[in-house]
Amino acid sequence: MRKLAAAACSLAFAAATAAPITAKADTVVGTFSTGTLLDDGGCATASLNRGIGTGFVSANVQMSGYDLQYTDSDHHMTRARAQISNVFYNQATGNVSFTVNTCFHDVNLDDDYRWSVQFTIVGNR
Amino acid sequence: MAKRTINQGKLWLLGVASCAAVWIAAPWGPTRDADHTVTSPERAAETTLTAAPDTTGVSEREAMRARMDELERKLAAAAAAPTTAEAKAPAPMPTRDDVERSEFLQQASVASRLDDEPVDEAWRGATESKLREALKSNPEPDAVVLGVRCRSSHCSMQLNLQAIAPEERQLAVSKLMSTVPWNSQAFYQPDALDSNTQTGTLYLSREGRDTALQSGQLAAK
Repeated sequence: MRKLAAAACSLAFAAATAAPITAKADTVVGTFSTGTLLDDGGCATASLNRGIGTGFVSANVQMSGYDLQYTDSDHHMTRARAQISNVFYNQATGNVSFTVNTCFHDVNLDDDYRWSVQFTIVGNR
Repeated sequence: MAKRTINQGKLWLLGVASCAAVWIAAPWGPTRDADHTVTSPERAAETTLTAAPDTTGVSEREAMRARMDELERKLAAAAAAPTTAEAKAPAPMPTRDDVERSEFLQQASVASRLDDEPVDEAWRGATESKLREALKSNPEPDAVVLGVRCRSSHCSMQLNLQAIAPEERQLAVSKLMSTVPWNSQAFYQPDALDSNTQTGTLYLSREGRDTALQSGQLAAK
């Protein structure tokens, strides 16, 4: 009986290890930056596109960092935000496009700030 | 006989009730005197025994009582006075409309500068053709491109987004951007600050000048 159980376990283990990997491979295309931009205060929205080549089924853009900085000092903060949205991969052109939005302001929305967002594009084959 | 038993029972109950009343009324622990000093029964007995000959203890108690009175006055004054946060009314947070108006005006100022740019004729013609060709594969047919014009640091596209819900327009712009045949950065400026506005302009950076649109303001300041 014990031998039978051991054999069954061995079979199950062998089947599990030999099972084909069905998950699709993700490829990190690269990490990029918007570059440093200036905004007159409040929030800023920019649309970006990057060519990553065709051959992917889909792609995603992940924020890997951000930098928000007032151009002068001594402000009371009410909001600091950075986000990426509206990601779209065009299979025909091989371009990934998306929206970057940042907010950095006090109650007045009138202070200049510099901003940059770093992002990583991951393609799925 | 029965009547007597009942009377005895009543008496017994009365006795038990009296004992309970005395027991409840007796002091349990420290009691607070009229002058707010706290005294336990044991401590009160000690005080009675030692208070008379010890004049130093009396003066210490008086000093302590004066100190307690002073602290109580300070506490009452602090409770009555408004805190700093209450005294200073908080400034109102900007609303979503405030933020959208601010962003619209800021972009309008950049758009105005871009519209006044000189035209790089050598670059404009070929780029406009390339862009028009690329836009034929627009994956968002509801984003109608009315016209394309290139200057020197950017190209602009007049768009009609009438068929697209306001909350979906940034995604439509994103899809349109995916047809642009160079890495670029852009912003969409509606013709008016109103969610019912259906037309606007997409300002698109020239190839190799990804951050030229917004960072151009640095030089302008």
